[in-house]
Amino acid sequence: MLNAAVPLPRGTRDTFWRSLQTFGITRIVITVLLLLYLTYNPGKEARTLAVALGWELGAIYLAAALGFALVSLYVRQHFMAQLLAQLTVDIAMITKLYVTAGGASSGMAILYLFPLAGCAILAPLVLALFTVSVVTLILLGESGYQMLRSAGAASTSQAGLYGAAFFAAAYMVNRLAAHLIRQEDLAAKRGRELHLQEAINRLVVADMNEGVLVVGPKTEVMTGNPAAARMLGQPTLHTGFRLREHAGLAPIVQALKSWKSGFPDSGQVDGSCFVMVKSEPASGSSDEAHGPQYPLAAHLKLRFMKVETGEPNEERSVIFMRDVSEIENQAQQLKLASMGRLTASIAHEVRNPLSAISHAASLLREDVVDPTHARLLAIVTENALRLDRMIEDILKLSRKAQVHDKPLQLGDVLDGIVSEFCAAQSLDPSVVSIEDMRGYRVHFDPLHLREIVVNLLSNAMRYASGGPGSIRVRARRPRKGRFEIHVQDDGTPITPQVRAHLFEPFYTTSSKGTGLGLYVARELCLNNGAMLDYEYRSDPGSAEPTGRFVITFAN
Amino acid sequence: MTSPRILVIDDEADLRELLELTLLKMGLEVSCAATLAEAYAALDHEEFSLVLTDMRLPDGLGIDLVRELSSRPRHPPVAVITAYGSADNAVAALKAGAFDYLSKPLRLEELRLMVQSALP
Repeated sequence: MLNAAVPLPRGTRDTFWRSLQTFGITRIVITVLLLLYLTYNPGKEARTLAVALGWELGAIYLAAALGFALVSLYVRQHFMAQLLAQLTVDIAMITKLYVTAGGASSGMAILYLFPLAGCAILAPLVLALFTVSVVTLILLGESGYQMLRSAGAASTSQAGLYGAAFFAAAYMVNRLAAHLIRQEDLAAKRGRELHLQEAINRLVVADMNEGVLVVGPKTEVMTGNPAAARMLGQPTLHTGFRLREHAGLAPIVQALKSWKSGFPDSGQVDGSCFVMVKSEPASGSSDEAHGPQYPLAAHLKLRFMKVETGEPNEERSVIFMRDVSEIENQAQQLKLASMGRLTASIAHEVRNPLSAISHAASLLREDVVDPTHARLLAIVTENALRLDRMIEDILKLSRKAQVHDKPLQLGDVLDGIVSEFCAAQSLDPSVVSIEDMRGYRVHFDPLHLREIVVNLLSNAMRYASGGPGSIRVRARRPRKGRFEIHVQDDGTPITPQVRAHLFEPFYTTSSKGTGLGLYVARELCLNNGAMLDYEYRSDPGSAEPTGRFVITFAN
Repeated sequence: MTSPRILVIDDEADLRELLELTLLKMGLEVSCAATLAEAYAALDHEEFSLVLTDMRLPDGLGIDLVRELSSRPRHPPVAVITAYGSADNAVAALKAGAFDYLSKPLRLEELRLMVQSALP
């Protein structure tokens, strides 16, 4: 029900204006029908009525009906004034028709139902009842007047019945309309709240740092926020993007699969894990446009949740992704700082007793003649030296915190490192085959690069057959802005089981190794904005992937 | 003719004793000091052909001794022993006027070669 004192919400006002317009159009239709009836009805009564009314009045009413409809359509203000004006004209016109046609006996009273119903729908109950009262008074007045004129031949009972019927109809229509309006108000309110909530959700999801991804059963992305697109290495998430079609995103697909395989039995519907996603090595130029594009790689924490759709074919999983690379970098810096302080102390405190042990053993060996004693002393010396190498490796970690990077011509630098390495290890230079890398430039600390390459070469030397070209150093440019050095030997490849622990500190498969070499090499790479990993890759012209160490440079 | 005398400065008794033993085996005479103060006292009383000093000492750094002796008109050559094995320490010692440097753990051959080259 309309209450003029209280401003109605915009949606409700629209409804009222629409109802008023319908009211106006109905009026035009009724007027036209009435005029047609009066014009074409061959009956005497109708013709008499038409003459009595006069065509001018009909035309004026039709013009007024058109005017009201146009005003309600284009001038959306003063709703109550428009409604009252229309009701006044309607009642005046119908009264004129009613009176001219002969009052209650003409049956024209039914025409009042049109403005009264409109009023009951569009006006408050009091106003609607007031209008009905006015109409009833007119009906009674007209009947009373006829009674006086015809001295008892007429009666007011018909007018009274019409009045009562009008009251009942107006009340009922008004209550029904009020109920519908309340329902509509509620629906509009809920709609606005929902709209607002959706807008907030969109804003929050779009702005949050955590990536949110909704995927279907075939790992197709249904929707995702900008953070998710960034973490997947995509400029935007286009529909039809499937995680499993991109080699670089395989860890996410695997994690999703293993999570999915877990929940039907255990009932667990959410789970989390860490994965490392990398840019795809270019297998073909056409794939590059859609493959993940990272500076190097991203370390993501994934959280999975299942959406209960109730339909087996409409399975939806939500993946929440958090890029922990930055946190890891900060942790790395903190680790280095504390490690630097610790290692400086270790170097001094451990090296002194170590020096004493090896010094004493060396002195003793000079005087020992018994071969068993000599062997035992040799073991003491060797192990002291091994411990010393370990300390030296730890010291390298503490020194790596300071990076003095500069542009390096890789060709010259690597040639120098390899020839020095061969000389130091008394290795035939033909054992290491190095590709021509002239023209490749990287930003790197030269001492760190030497350390890394020497480490990888020492490692390769340990497992290579020793024949010519048994250690290979190759340059690869997987795509623009990326550059890799591959170091590979012809020995038994590293198994995936060993690979999983390869870069852990103190992990070694060699009795002579310290277990710190590869760890240090990787840390040095990270500190120079590069990455070191052991990967299984196919060389051009060979389908079988082979293992090799890959240093990836970002520049 | 008396054997050349060498001053060994190290706060670690074992290392000091080992150096002493090695040098004695080479037929040299050895004096020992555990601190810079003891070293200066010995230098004031005796003539040395070579000074072997650890880098870290309880009352200062070996490099301070190098600087102090370098400023004197007549002074024996000084070799420093560094526990860090870093090029920076060695370069700093050489710049300050050290004759040579050795890294821990000491290698007998290196030590002997260095001592022989320092002696007249």
